Amino acid sequence: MLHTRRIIHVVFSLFLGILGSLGARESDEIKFLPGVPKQPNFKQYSGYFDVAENKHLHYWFVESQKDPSGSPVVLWLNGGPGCSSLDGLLTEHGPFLIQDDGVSLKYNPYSWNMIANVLYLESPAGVGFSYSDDKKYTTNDTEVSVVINVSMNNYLALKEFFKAFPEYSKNEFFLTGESYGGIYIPTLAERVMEDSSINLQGIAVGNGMSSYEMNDNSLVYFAYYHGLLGTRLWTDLQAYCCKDGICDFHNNQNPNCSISVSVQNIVYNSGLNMYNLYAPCPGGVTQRVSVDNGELVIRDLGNSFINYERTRLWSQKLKGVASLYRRVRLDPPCTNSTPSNLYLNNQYVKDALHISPLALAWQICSAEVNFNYKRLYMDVRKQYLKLLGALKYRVLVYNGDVDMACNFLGDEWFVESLQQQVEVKRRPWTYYTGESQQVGGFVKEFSNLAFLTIKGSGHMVPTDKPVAAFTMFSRFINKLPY
Amino acid sequence: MVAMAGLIDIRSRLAGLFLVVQALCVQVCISFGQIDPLVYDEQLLWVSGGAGEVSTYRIPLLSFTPKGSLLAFAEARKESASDIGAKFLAMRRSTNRGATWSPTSFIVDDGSLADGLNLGSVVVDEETGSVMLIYSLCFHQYQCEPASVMLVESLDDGLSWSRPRNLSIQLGVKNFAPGPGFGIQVDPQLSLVFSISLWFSLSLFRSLSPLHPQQIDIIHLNVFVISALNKRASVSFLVIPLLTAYFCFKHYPPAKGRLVVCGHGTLEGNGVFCILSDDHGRSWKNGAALKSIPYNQPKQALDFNPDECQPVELEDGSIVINVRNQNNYHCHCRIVTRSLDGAETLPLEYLVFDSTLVDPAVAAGMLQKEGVMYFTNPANSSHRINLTLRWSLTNGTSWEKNDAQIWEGPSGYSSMTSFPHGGAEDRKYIFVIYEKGHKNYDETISFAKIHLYSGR
Repeated sequence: MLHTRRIIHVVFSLFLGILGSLGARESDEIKFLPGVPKQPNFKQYSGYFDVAENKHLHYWFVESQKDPSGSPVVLWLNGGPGCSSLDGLLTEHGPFLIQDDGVSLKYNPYSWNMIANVLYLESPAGVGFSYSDDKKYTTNDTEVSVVINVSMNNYLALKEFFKAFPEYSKNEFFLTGESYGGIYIPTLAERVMEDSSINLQGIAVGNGMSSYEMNDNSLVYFAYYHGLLGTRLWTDLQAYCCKDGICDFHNNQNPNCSISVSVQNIVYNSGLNMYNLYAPCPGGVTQRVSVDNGELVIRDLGNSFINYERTRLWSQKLKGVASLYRRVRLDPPCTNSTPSNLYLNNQYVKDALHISPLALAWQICSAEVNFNYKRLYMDVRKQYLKLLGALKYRVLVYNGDVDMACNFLGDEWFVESLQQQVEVKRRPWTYYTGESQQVGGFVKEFSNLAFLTIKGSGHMVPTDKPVAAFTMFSRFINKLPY
Repeated sequence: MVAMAGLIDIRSRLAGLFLVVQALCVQVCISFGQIDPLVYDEQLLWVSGGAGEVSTYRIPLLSFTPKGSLLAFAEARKESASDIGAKFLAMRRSTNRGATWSPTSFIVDDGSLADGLNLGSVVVDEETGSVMLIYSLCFHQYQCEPASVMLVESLDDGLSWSRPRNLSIQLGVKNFAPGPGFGIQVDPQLSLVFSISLWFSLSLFRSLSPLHPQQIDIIHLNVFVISALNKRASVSFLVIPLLTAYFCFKHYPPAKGRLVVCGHGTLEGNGVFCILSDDHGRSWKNGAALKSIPYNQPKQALDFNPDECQPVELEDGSIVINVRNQNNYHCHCRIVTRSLDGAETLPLEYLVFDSTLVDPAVAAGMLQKEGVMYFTNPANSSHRINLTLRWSLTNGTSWEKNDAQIWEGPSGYSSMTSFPHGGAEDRKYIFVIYEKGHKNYDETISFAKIHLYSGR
């Protein structure tokens, strides 16, 4: 009797379990998305993954437009830290891209979900529609590191994803991301590779932050050889920041080397579009900080030259000023996030996406998360070596070569510094534009590792060079030659 | 009439002498001892699915360079093992006789062509130091036309390569697939002794001969020598160096320095075809052709269908071409054909079937080194297995019995090279590159360094 009851109980709870996961999933399906000319013919879901410490990470999952069950699953993370991956969906490689009116979406023929099931995750909590029950997005320094929390929570979110979509658990899986995703992706991969239930195949990082030191040092060369620095400044930089042909612009103790601040001012503060040297700056030449309708607008993600006293003081000052304002907005410089803002904060859209009433209004980047983000990793060399050491993961480091936020040279140095066996010498790679074969950039291939540039592209490669980016992505996930 | 008879008599005497000298020469060549090949070192240069995520590496070529490097080439078939499809042209370079190799360079990228590039023949111009690689594009005319013959050239020992040049402009449109293997340069090297004696003899001959100096060539010179001998002229001071020249130099003299690249046509319009350049690769013309039967018509099993081929130059200046017998005409063995005029013609009377060289219809390797002919193929009448090295001390008219197995398992196309003018070390080795696998022959491309004298 007891036995039978136990069986009934087990069966019932199993049934409930299936019902539960199906239910969550059912209710997450986007049934009608405002703004698209025609509802899509692929399935898409939007909802929350509940992770540790009462945090709820918002996801938007778009199934592949071709054979979802046979296509790989790809996680995409934008950077910041503190910026939303929905920016990647709506302006980079999503199935539909936001139009200037902030209302309509236009189908993207070069969407990455043409060939992959793509999971866009807003992380950490406090970014975009992701939230925490206690609404505290501040992590103090004495706590367990934020980075570990981020990668842990991203990992837990992935577990939740595979729980909600178990039919994808056997599919090939890739971790991809951009910018500060250069830290997120390898640190997350370090966890995922230890979980045999996830079929991780590789990672791809676009214009990623791989090493603060190399990013800073290379930027000075990049700036000089792209005609941004005068000869006088260059000579002084050589004199004060370099010794025996080795330059340190990143953490130089020579007080005279503080002239390297001029480089920062030119690159980040003169009105240039740091995400694409050759693109105009939307909104024109603006200051790093301004007040817009009583709202403090900061256009600095704080990723460069962080070791300088001046940078530290600037960052403290920013926080101080920000605390005086009720509303603070963090915009990546020269980025027009208004259309995405309008669209995502539209109540119909929020309803369609099942956004929790507890979530904050959507912003492209969260000042609070960014300000309170403790940067633990100064480089991700160890993570890459661990991945490569497993001998079974494909790693792609790709860079639009006119970006100055995470310039190609720094990532090229980083990849070289991993000292992997060269398999194919650096060469141009080509792609078909629809009319002709063109050089997409250059690629150098090591064992399980490729460094690839996208010629003429800025930081957001799929935005700037959609065809080249799609070709690259397709070759990466399909294990084809670049 | 009497003079003619005397001439013939002298010629036959000379022929006898020639054989003696050739025997002596062979003796010199094997002064290390009997040929007893040993795979001294072997390494995989490419693994399908390996470098650059390339699906399949196939059609390996190998060449020495005038500066003493080795260059290995292969088709890097991007997305499938198929002959058609997009490819890179992959190259690796060794500057230490094959001990270590550079990383792969993709020296040509055909993009995403439905019917991309196909190798190919590598030919070295020792007079200019240039290395040329000739390949085809759109050979199968699959979703493209017409087929083209392309050339890339390196003037810096394989470090950098020119943009591809389309030779079809000079050759006319024709489906021509060079090689696979190497092309040859008709021996431009004249020994010092020969050069001096030739100069000496020619000067003398010019002063004595009624012919216009420009008509004087080596054949006339030979006739002159013979008639001089016939007239019992006491010109021994002339005869001795000339005899040296005669035996060391070609009997079939045209086209010194000519580049000869041989290949084949489409399955229907098949045959052996050679293209020739007498100006170091600047311009090319069509040379010898040995057409299939029926020509330009669909073939049946057992039709005469000469296909992929490898030419070598014998010491006498004739060119021997070892040919894939695509439809097993006459035998499951190799077709061998010969040109006496620098690959301008391939007369049928010189065509033989070499029943010793049993073959499953494949591209084989051949090399002539110091009077010895070497041959590699998967020695099996129907399967591509058992890569075997044979050698002949009689220019291929017979083969030594004790052949050497290089790989018993699946093995496909092969090609050979060696350093032709090196010192003692270079005389000891030949180098073989071949398709090698455990289950399928297209799994890897392997490079083997063969010690000809059993490692001693």
